[in-house]
Amino acid sequence: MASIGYDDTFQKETPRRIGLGPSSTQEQARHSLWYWLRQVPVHVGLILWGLTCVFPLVWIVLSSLKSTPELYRDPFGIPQAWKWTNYRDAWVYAKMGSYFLNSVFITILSTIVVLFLSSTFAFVLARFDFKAKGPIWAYVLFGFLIPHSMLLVPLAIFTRTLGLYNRLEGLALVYAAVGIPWNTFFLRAFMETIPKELEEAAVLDGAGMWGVFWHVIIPLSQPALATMATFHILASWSEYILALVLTGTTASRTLPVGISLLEGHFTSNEPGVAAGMVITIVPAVIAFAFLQRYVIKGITAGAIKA
Amino acid sequence: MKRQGRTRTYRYGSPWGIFMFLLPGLGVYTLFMLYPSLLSLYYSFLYWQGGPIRQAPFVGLENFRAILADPYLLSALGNNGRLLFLNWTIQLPLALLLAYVLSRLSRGASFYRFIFYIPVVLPAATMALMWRFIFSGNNYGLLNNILVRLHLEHLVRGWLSADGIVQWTTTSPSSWVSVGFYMVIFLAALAGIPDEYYEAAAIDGANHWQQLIYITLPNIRGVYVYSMILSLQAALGAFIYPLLMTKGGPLHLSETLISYSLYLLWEKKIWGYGSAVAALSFLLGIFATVLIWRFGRQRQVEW
Repeated sequence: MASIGYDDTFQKETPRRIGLGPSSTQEQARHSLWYWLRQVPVHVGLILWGLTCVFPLVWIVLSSLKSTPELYRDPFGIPQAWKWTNYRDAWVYAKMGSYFLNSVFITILSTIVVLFLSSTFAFVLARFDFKAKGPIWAYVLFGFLIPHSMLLVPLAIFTRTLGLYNRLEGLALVYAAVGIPWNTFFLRAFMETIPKELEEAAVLDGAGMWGVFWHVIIPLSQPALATMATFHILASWSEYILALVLTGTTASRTLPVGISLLEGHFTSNEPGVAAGMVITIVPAVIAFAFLQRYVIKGITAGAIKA
Repeated sequence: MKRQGRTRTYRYGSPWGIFMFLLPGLGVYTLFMLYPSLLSLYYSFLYWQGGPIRQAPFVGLENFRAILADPYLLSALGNNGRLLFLNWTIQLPLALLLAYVLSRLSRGASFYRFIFYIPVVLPAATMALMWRFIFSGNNYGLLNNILVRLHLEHLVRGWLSADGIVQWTTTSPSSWVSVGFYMVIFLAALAGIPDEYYEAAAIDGANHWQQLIYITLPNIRGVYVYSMILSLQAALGAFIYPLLMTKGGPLHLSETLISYSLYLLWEKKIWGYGSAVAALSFLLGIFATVLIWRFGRQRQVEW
């Protein structure tokens, strides 16, 4: 069975088909009319499920372009006059613009930080033997069991003590911290598959630990780092409860928190709320469209490891 | 450049070098994740109604005893149970069905996979608001509007206010949203079954159903158990849909363990008891995970 491998999962192109079902038996029947007819109900079912995934989003986009009376009168139709000012209302008056920038900043910063923290950590755990390795590994894996909701009260107090409360850097650091167990786990598994000869050659050339890490391990780990970055970006963009508890003012709120507060600021302006929702959705869908293969790879590697 | 010059003094694999590499990750993890989680466990033993923690007396298991007598807590636990029920009876089987169908499609599979995964990547807060719009009793509520248009007025309900309904309308979205995630897991598992198994079975004259039952299902058993654990943890940790759709209401009917603990912590400021409720969800999660893992492992098929 495949492993999360430097020369395995990541180097190969994705196969033509996702699955590896019984291809040989299907191959013969592929051209018959009966084969195609049998496909129809399957596609109808798949399209129906696809509609449940996409239709609500389309509805939100359409709603965001209506006026409030029109939404109440006709919640389904195409907007009669496309009311783009809803977006201005959401972006400027409801402060979604500054929440957006905060979210972008936190997402980027915490992704960089978590990759640094986990890759240095994973490097040592993957490439060296030392006495405390087993206990440290168990200690890190324990983090998988900790739900974020348990961290709220202690962190709310603790970040105030450290002066990190209501600061973007503080929230980014917390996001990086909660990402460490999963990122370290994945990166370690990947780094273990890098051939020993490469680092030995670098050591012979006089490289120290940082040299090997930075010039050998990191460049070779790029596929795994990209996968981890993708997951962290998507997770940080969506995170709600830590952001709600650890920030308190407009200057440091993120989009998910902003959208949940929109309702209060915007009484009876549902189209404005819908516009705010579109602002949170669009970047996530675009990021996913571009980084899709890393998401699939990450889950695949995770499922096989299990 | 500066960094390289400095760190060259760490001989490759020296204890000091290893320590320096461990320090940042281990330190941040300990400080912002492990230490707070232990603190939270400690808080659950305190009688702490806000105020300075030094004045909060240590009461041992008193909070946990109070939990057993809390009627809201039991109904909250019931909603976690409903979510678990939805996850295990609909979400996972549906995800497996979709994965199985996609794995056998000759074309279009990656397109469907993209579409089905979209709900997973969207911010849960936005999804929760969207579902509130859908179930809303106001004029724009999507579901009631559809019902009226189909002349099914008798089915129009207060989806977010009626007892017996609100418990399901606040749990099912969180089950729906993750179907695509488990589908991708199952796709990976299905793709990991060697072709030869199917070829051998086909030679022995096994039809598609027999292949499904005797080859496909036994081979993904391990991954299925793993998914059951993930969806169990998701069910125990769920809070955002009740929190943003109904605030746990009406009368705490749609509360889950965590949304109830959030209510206790941030609305009522009963920090000791609220922490105990959060700790309960954590302990239940560990207990159930160990149980399923044991059970699932024992009967795993070896090839």
